[in-house]
Amino acid sequence: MISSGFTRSAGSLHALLETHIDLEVPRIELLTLGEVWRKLLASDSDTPASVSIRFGGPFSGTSTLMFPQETASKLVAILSDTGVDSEDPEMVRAGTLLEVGNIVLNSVMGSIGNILKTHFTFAVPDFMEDTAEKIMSIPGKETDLALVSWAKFHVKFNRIEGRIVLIFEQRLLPKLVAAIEGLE
Amino acid sequence: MAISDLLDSIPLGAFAIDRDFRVLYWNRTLESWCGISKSEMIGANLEEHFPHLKKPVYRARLQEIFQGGPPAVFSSQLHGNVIPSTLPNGVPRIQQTIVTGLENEKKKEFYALFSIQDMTDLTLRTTKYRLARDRAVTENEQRERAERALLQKQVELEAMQGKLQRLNGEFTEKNRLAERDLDLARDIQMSLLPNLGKLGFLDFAHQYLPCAKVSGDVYDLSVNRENCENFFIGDATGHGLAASFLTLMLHIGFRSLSANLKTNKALSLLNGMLFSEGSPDKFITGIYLRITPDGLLTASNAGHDSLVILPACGGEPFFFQERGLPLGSFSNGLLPYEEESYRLRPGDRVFVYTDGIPECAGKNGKMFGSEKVVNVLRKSRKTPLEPALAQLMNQVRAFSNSDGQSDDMTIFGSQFLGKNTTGPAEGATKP
Repeated sequence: MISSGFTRSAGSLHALLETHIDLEVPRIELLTLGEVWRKLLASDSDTPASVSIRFGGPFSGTSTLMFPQETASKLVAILSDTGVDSEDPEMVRAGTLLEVGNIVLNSVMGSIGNILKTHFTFAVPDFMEDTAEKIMSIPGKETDLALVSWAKFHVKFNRIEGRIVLIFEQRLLPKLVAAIEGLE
Repeated sequence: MAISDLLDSIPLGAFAIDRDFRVLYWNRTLESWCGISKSEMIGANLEEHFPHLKKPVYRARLQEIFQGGPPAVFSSQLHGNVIPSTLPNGVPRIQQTIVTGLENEKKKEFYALFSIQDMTDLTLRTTKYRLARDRAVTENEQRERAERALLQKQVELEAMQGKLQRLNGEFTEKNRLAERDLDLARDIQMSLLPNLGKLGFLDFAHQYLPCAKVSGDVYDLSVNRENCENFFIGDATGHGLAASFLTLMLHIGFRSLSANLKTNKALSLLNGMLFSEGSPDKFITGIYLRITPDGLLTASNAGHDSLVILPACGGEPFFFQERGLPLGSFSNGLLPYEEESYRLRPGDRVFVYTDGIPECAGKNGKMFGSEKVVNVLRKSRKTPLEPALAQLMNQVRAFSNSDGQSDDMTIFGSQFLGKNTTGPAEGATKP
């Protein structure tokens, strides 16, 4: 589901960037929240840029896309060539990353919704640049489960890496599992 | 409340379209921003008014909205404005547009609701603050660099001050040693100067004024077996220790000579001694004179100012004419000097002096001059010798343009006291 959504996002990114996007098949892991925090804290020593979208419906939770600082800056630099000049680079950075994150997450959630034949409701996406700990400070137990996808794509010879973390409300997980098993 | 009323009340630009891009709602804020009325837009095709929205980048994402998908963000940084508009002053608005799905449950379809937030003021203020911050950071960095540079300079300055103090200490010590050597040289020089006692037929007076611790001026005196007074006055080139060494050599030479030698012979021998022992660029000008008890004055000149004879009768001053070469600079042979003579009468005065007196520079840049020296001495001929010389030196000092003394000054005066002496009233007689 995630792979499919990721592939769909490439089309929108292509239209946005007007350039070819090369995707790598994302590696997906099912981890506990505790493991997610530890991995993120270990790999992101600075303040990653993130876009989060809360979703509701039969299954609710949060979908977050995180870019490490260096990747975020690279992406903004590429996209700044294609966009309108803004006087403030920090506003450019926030706007650019918000839209890219919005495109990727929308595609992923849209794909999940299609496959599960479920209609989600969505809140307006949020953009944050802060420590991974604060970005992922979602109420929950360490043992709660989360899907983590390591998404990579190439834009104009630049490698862009991001992490998609999908956290479903734990009480709905059995229902989700049943829905997925129902597909097979 | 109808949805259109709700949209008219919010401080955002808001409109809604269906999947055919037909405008369903158009709020009052957008009317104000774009100048396009609600009545004009509702029912119209949005793409006809805003053709850029036909681009795939908009269409593809809006299709997801029409299918009930998640909100789509269109940032002005990447697209420009979805609905372009300007502020009243003509500045383009900076907008952020978020499109959310609006469900029509009856028709089981979704409309796209555009919410447009004006970010212009926030963006401009942020830019302004960022520029101010960048300026402050730059100024701070400049200040820090300047402070570091200042600190470095202070360190260098302290090091230089330390070095300077050390050098100053060394210089002070060397100076102290040099002063000590000069003091020693002065003591030696002073010890070599003769005591001018009174001979029965002559009265003496002198003024000896070195301009530094040691002098280049020299005088010496001897009395031969006939009780004749032999006197030498001279002026060595330069100042300081080098000149004082020459005077030392002169004393040694003078005292080694027989006191009965003729004055010109004595100068020849002195020249030979100084030439062989000294260096060609160092020499002494001088006069060697002798006065006998019966008043015969003989003298020879080695490049010096002439002696002056002031007759007691008040007649014109008398000057000798010959000028030989200075001692020690030319030839190691016996240079010939000419001796001149004069018969002194009682009361006649004889003066010899060094060039520091006539060449003393005045405030007007002119020199005191030999003529003035003679005039002053003539005017004071009724004054005893010693005060007469003191008066002359006072006038020279008053004339001088500097607080200090630029050259050594020496003047020697003698008055013939002898009795029963006769001599020519004018001119000199040569032997």
